[in-house]
Amino acid sequence: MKHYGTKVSNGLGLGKCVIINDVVPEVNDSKIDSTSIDNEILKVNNSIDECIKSYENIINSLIDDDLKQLCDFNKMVLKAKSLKTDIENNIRENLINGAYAITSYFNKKADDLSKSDNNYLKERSTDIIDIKNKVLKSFMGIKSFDLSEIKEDSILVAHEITPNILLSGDLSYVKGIISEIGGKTSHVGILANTLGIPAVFGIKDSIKIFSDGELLFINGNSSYVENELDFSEINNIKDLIKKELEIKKELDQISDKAYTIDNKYFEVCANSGDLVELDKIDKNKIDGVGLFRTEFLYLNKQVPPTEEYLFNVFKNFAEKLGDKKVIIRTLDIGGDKKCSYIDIPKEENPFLGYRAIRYCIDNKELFKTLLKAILRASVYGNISIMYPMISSLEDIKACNAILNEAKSDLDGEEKIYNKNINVGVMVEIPSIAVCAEEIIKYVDFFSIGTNDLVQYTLAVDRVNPHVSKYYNWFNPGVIKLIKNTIDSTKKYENKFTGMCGELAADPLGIILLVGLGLDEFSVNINSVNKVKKLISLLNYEDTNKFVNELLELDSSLEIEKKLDEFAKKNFGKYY
Amino acid sequence: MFKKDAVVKSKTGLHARPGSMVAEKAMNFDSEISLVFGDKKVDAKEVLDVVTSNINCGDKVSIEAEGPDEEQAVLELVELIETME
Repeated sequence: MKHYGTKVSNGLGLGKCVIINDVVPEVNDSKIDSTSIDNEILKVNNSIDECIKSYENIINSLIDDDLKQLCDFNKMVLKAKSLKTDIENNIRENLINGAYAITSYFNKKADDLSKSDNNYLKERSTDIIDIKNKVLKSFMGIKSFDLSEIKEDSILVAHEITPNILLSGDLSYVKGIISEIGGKTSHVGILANTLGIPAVFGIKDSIKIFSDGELLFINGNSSYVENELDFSEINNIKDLIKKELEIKKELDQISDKAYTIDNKYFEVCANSGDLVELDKIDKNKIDGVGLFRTEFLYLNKQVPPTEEYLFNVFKNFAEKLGDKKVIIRTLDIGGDKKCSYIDIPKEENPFLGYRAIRYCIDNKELFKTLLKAILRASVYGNISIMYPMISSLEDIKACNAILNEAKSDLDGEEKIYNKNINVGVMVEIPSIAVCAEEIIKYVDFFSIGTNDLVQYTLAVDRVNPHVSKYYNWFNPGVIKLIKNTIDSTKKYENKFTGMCGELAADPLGIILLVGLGLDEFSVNINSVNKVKKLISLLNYEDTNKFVNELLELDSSLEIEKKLDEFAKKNFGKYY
Repeated sequence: MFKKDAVVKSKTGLHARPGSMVAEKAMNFDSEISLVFGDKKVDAKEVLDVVTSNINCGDKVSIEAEGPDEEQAVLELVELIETME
């Protein structure tokens, strides 16, 4: 039987169900006798030392960097002087029991972290609770779950899988992770992704549905877990896993450029939006960065970043990418992304409201600081500027006026920059796609943002479950807008159209876009090789002919059906 | 007291790993060591205080130490902070 949950980490896994009943120790506030103070303190200190030792033992056997880092962090939290002194003082002064003193210390620290306006630190507060439970168990003599006792392929199932569970031993037998609570951005969710362990969270009553020892199949790609498997199903699954591994291995090795069978080249770039992603980028495997989001440089801060700081980040990154292009999108704040020093009042309709370029044009100094930093970094690599949320030519003119001011400021400060820096715009508001032919005269390139373009064209908010079925990127209206945009740049030798939305990584989208002659695909770093592979399986001439026929159709369902048939025929096992 | 400024080079600021490394290094010394950032002053040996002070790439921090090995402590921490990637 299949049980569906939320998607956390891709991959397929087969293994025996291991239910982890990690009970959180119960703590009461009973007082201790003043004669046992020293003994209680000694017991607390011993359990802290025992936990430090356990982290130290495991740290050398860890291969993954993220786990090592976590282990190090946890160890340092336990080594902090304030831990032992605060707990000791609390016991001495208030005669409270050791477990309660341990709990108070860590709860306070976790509470401080959870109040932080930095999301990264907020997530850390659950790590602190996790450390607390480890110390408490050691103090109370409760045995913790220990991965090193697992000696065969297993799927871990728990109400909550905590980082400490993953830190308790060798992960090579862990073929999947099922947690009732948590999500893709929880610490374990992130770890599962970087470790490449399939994970499905949020299946209600997982620990009751699945029984210890039964064989489970976890499909992280389609986010379900299957139990009660019969013999033939198990064999099919084994084949499936083998095939998936082969494809993955093959895709990992791709570093060539993407050419179709008939030798037409398509540029495949990566999108990037935070430092972790930037770190992962290997410039030899991509044709550039088609979308460098700048929001992360602004969010989670008390004051706006300085020009020097922004310049350093862009410069480091441009240097890392060498001669490969980096398209830096100016601040796309507002909508669902807010930060403390940017004062956007609560709006009825934030997605139709005061956001991105609309805010930046009014807040010239903030915008100019960013533009100056980008301009200065432009001499260290191949940088272009891209404006988001452009709805008219006036928007472009207003942005360029501020860009010109930034340039003359730099001239005055005698700072160097690339005077011919390319400037492009996002195509996400339908008016720009409709008037692409006129707008392209004023810019160097277009990049289509499909998520917003579809949302604005079809007037549908895709996170609203009541209307999400109306969100369809194969709507003929959407396709016509994409085609119009791509066609507009074809008349110019040096201009191009890219796409940095999710459609560019979708197998059916790739067929459509290759057929329409999109110049640049910019996708999540993890999808780059898959996109290259799929492009290489297509014949441009045939695909172009096929897509031209699609343009005659007036039903999204029919278009999707035809694309699906074409994908099955051309992509085979990669689809 | 010995004191010196450092500019944070680590792209992730002094969060997580860089924060742990600073605290670990600081613990090697007997002196009291603080990081001063804006109007905040935190104990360099307390990893949670270091990571929550929200020190980012490009920020300037002062390292202050007071004790028998204060100069050595400050110099080594400055070097660490300025070389961590």
